[in-house]
Amino acid sequence: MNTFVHIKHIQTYDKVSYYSVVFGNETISLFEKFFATHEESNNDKLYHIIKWLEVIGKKYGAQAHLFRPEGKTADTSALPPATSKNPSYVENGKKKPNTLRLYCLRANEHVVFLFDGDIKTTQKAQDCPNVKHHFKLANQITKAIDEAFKQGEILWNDTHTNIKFQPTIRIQI
Amino acid sequence: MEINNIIDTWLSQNGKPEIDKLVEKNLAIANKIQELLVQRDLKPADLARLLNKKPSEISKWLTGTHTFTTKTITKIETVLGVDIIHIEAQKEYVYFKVMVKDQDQEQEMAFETSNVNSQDLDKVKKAS
Amino acid sequence: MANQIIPEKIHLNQIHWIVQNTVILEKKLVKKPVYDFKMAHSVMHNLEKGIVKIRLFIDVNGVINDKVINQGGNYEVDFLFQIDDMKDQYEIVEDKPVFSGLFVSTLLAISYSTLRGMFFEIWKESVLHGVILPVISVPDLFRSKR
Repeated sequence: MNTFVHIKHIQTYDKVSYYSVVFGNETISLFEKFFATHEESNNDKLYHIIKWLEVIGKKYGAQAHLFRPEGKTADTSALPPATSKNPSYVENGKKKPNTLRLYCLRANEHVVFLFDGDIKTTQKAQDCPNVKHHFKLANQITKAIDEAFKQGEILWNDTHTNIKFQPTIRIQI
Repeated sequence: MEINNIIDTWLSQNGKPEIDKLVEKNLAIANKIQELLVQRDLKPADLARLLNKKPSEISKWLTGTHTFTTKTITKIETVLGVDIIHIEAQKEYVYFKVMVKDQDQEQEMAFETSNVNSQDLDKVKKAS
Repeated sequence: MANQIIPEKIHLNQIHWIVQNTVILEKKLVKKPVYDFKMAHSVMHNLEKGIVKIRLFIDVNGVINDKVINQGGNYEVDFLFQIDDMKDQYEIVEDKPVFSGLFVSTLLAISYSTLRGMFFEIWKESVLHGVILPVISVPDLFRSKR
């Protein structure tokens, strides 16, 4: 099945620009869905993550140590072979399980794609039915975005601080 | 490309000053630890070994999403030999009560010219 | 009569501008003036209410090349002090209260300092904004009676 997404700009700060993706026939992006899902039920945890995105954006940049790569603890055997980029996640919560996890793709220190996520209900992500499916999706989109970069459908600006792309581009998942 | 402010909009609609401060502090501490590691050419795994912890725990600290206990911070400070958080010097405040001018008291008052003994002024040198 | 001055017993309750007259010349001046001050004071009291009223009189005159110019002002300000246990601060001499010089000079000093702040405030948006009342000795403060 051919599924297409297009890129949506979320916010630009001094140090980081955030983007998300919108599935072909839908109106809001994955990231906005993340908001909508958790706004009522997990407001504090959500707030932590969103505020974290703001502070990174304004002050620190998307440095590698700030993101946790998925894959170290997850069971990747069911997934397509590793590509040059892997998705990572941002997670907040006091105890594990019960942390809220948001998947994303850190393209570089200045550009981050935000996807979706959920409450991790088990000790390990791969055991959690909620989170596992978001990881799979993040992985698929990551692969597609990576390919789009390679094909020149998404380009870096001169200083590698932001991306350029045709508003009409469709990326095939 | 359409430019949006989705994060700022949501944050300003949902403002939580307590969480704001917590996130800022956690990130500041994480960043400070990362700086120290880089300065000393240490990997997270090295710090883990020094503290007898798992490398994954150190990695979690460095994301800025972890809320540190004072116990943990002081352990890190001890092992790296540098303070990460500083408490500012205590100020001593003196409290006064202030009388508020009573508006009703603006009545006419009778005053008499005063006589003053200026002889005990030798003690006083300067007026400011 | 060297009774101790206890600051907590002195309450500066009211301050009133009686005269506040600042004169600024319209035209541009050939050079920046220096300012001369003339100062005087009066002391009055109301025994029944335990209040002492200090009135300060200040004349400010701009001077360029030793000539007085019409820039400056004249001012009169009242400072009303409520005094706890005021009887400790005066003696009755020939049926009239005579206040301790130390006591009155304390009030004069407080008033004068306060006035310095008030001038700073009223002049700050004008050409007089650099002018600040000088520190003067108590005997001089005292001598300037009106």
